[in-house]
Amino acid sequence: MLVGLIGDERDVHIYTLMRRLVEKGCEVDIINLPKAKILFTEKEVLVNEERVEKYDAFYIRQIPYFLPAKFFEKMSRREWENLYDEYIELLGENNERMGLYTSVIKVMEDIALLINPFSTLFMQFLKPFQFYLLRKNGLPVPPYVATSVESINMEKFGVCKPLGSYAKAEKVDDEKVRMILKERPLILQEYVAGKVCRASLLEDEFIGAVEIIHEGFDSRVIDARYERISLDDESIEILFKCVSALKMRYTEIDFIISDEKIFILDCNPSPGFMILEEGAHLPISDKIADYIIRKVRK
Amino acid sequence: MEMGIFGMEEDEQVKLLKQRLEEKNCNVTIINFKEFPAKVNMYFDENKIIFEDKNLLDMDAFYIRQLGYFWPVPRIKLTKEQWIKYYDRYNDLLINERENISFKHSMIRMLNCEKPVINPYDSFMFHRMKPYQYYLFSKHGLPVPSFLAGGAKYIAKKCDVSKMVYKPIAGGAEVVMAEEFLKEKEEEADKRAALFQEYIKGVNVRVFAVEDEFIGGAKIIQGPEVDSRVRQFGVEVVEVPEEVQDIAFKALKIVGMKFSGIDFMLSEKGEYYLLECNPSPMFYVFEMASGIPVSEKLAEYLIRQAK
Repeated sequence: MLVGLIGDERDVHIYTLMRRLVEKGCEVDIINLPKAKILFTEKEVLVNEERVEKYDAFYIRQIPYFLPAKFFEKMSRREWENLYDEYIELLGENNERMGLYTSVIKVMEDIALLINPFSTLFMQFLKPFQFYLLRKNGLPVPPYVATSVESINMEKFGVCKPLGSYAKAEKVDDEKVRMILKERPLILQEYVAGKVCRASLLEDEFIGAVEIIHEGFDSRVIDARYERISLDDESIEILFKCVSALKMRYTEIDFIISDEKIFILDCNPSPGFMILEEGAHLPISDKIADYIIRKVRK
Repeated sequence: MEMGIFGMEEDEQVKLLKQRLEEKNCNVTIINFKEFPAKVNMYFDENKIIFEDKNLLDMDAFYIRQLGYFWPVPRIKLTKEQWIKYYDRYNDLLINERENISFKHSMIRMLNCEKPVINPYDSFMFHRMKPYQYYLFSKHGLPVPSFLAGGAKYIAKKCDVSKMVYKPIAGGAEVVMAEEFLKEKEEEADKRAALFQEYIKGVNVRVFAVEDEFIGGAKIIQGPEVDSRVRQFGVEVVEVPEEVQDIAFKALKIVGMKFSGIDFMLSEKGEYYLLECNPSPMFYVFEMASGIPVSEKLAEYLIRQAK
């Protein structure tokens, strides 16, 4: 069985999943799209001189981001100055590369098992759409509004969060929210007090859940601790329904337990699973590898 | 009947479609994101999408003229001095743009689940994924000229592109002969992704169709450039053979579009080759020059969908 792992070879998730698959007798190729040799024709699609039809499954760790210039690392003033005149060209080049990579991924999906499906890969950047799908399916997402309106009544909302990741979730502070709304929209969501938790699951198997012990408001912090918890059948059923509503095959779901009820915060289509694998000893990479083998054999 | 058009008021296509819909007694709301979020009041949850005090979910159908591009720096051409002043703000601008795009796309995807939206959200991606569009057409037996996509330098080394044209994968750039492109981009060829396609000598024929009705087609009378968009001198209405109309309908179905401007190349031997389906084609100039009633037929289609 040949499996393609799409991501950077230096990524610990890619390396770990590769090891698990190899231990189980699979052949594995790491496909780092920005570095790959791609030849895409009407007859065949070759990636690093292999036909994509040869593969039985693909796992996407990360779709390449649309990032025309450096983002997280700070650019020097000189680097920024040098971008003048080049920037429009960089945007164009980036668009072209993204068009090529997504075309390749769509073909991969047409011919083999793809985790996660293409249509779900952008869900983490489209939180309001994710919330809409979950609530329409009767799932317990705290009430929310995605807004650009400065004059909105914020009384019933306790949290403001980004629609497309990166920025942090914060307590609603009227003045700060109005400042932000001048430049970008926000999600305002009802605050639910309780234990912040995360579960890892495949479409047909619950892997495990943890409570995230952390300081501050946003649980996405480096020094958080993860304590394994058990969930009742009803809660697990809700989590499976989320996976199904969003048509994912594997996800990590952030949720809150309050008065023994769960409230869904977010389903991530390409989670960094090593955080829970190392932090709470959940055998996630092993389970993903088993899932791939199971699905391909079926 | 209440109709929404996503686009700019000054866009000729938007103006013409609005006029046609109003002639048919529709109320039309233009949803313009140009000054979002600063001057556009909009919010939504799972039950409503409020745009300037109007709930879009109470409306009947929508036409998307423009979905918008990711453009984190200001859209105007900046002077070097202005550019330098944006140092330190770039990360903020990127985050803002991601959030703005997420808002628009989440809202349109939600709207697409609830109401007729022309064209459907998913069909827009084909405009940015031309290799995949051509691949699907070819797999379905439609006559697409041979193509190669990949890293420009890698392809140039591996394949003979001397009889091919360069085309952008995701739209925008001018179509030129492949060798001209490679010469011009020699220095950055190793960073560029590119699409090369067999050059068919002939004339460009654009046809318009909605999913259940063929609207019409015309030859584009163009300048000597390879790209017919560079200089257009007019159009000449043509009788589009039934088998070509059939190709157009099949192509629309494959990419999930309900309305499209479909480009063909009519070779010197009289053979039609399918070039691409556009999800938000410009039809104003074409309609004025050809007399083909594209906006009328599109308006009728939207009303049929709304019913």
